[in-house]
Amino acid sequence: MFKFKRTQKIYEIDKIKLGGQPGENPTVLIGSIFYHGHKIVLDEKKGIFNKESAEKLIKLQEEFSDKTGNPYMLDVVGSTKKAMEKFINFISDNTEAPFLIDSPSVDVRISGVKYAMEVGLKRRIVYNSIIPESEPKELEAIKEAGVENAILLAYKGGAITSEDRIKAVMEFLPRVEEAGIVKPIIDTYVFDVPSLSLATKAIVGIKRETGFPCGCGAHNAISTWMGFRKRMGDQAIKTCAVTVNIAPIILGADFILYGPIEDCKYIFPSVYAINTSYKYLYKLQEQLEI
Amino acid sequence: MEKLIENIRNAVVDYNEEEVIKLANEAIEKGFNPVEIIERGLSEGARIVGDKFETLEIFLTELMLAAEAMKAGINILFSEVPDGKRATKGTIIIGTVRGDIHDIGKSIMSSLLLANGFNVYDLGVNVSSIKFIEEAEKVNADIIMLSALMTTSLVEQKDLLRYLEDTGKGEKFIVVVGGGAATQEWSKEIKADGYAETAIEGVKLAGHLMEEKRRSQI
Repeated sequence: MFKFKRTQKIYEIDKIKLGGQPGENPTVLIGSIFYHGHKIVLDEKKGIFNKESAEKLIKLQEEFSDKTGNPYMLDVVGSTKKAMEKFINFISDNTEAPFLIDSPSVDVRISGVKYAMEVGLKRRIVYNSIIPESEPKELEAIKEAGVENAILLAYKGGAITSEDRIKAVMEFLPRVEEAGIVKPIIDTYVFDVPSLSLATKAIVGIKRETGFPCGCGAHNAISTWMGFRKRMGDQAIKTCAVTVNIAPIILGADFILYGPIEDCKYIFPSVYAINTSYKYLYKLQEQLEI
Repeated sequence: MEKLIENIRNAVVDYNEEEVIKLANEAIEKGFNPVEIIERGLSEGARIVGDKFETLEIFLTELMLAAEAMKAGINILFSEVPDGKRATKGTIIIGTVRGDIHDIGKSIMSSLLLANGFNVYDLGVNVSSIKFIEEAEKVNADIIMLSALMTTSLVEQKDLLRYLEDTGKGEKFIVVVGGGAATQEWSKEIKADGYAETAIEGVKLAGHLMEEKRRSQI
């Protein structure tokens, strides 16, 4: 919908392109795997999982990526160092796509990226994530590990509005650069339905101010909506997962963390429909310039 | 004054921070009793919002915005309240333990505690035991509330209690544990003063523990 006056950065994360003007490149879609509660994980701490099922899911996402042309990444979530190493080994053997190293634990994230660097995966990994309140020692560890790609989550305690998010990012960017992050990828932080719009507006603001690739974990808007399934029915969960993921893309998001990898069969075709249409808005130069 | 109280209460419910600030300043100009404005206006508004959140009528963002609006009003009116009359139900330090960045449950708890009349200092996420204790001492906290969402970060709750014990501060603070990884059994094992499974339980527990504390001091 928009054309940003500021030049938009386009990153190459291994073989995929991320960023640019809306309509210039297809949206990058990131599905989560091995997350807490994922039914293919048999032992979260030890990193034991159903390999056949995991392979099938990765292939399914790949299949849809081939059909739609939307590049994909994997958000690999681990809760222990041991589990994270096993997941990294599996992912690197079963797909060529870049992947995010994700954990609620700082120590596990750092250990994960160090391991990934040791086994030669530097070009494919993205650290997920750092926040404005990340401690200096985390940033030092990232720099020491030599990580170049990282998700910068626009979350700061007390930040609620879109302006709060934009301000948090702008204040943090100099520290991110000091940490050796060459390709900061901004996630404007969604944790419920109201925050989806605020995060989406922040995407527009951040792309306008900085040109950095920007997106969000839009699926959180539905997955955290208590009582929604009971009120609307099971079918509403998937249909609304699609709508909440599409909304930021309509306003210019470069990537979406769309939720469980299983949802790729709903998300990829939906995003493809919008990307296809926007390609023509871009070609005909009919965007709203901001 | 009744009209102003009603308006400021509604402004909190509508999370209209600008309106709350305007009305708080108006209350001061008109010489209204700030304690009444806080209790019947701001706190009552926040309680209504807390109830709406419990019954799933509103979202977390709305709860947080209402808490911010209420805080803005309290910051203005508290300056007019003589020190001796600044009653709150208690002072609480809350945060997610070191190594853990889960935030939402902790933020809900924070906002509900504030709505229910506690003085709350939310330290955020990935907070070390030392920091919890330093901040608790700084503000003379009654309760330290520790959230841990991962089993691997539970040990931080144990470490904080051990540290308090080792430094002779075991009786100084009430310690409550919670978060998805914690359980009642765990809290007993590490000799915490309480465990709360949900934010609502946490608020009730905080009230109960403060009551016990007051009775023991009489």
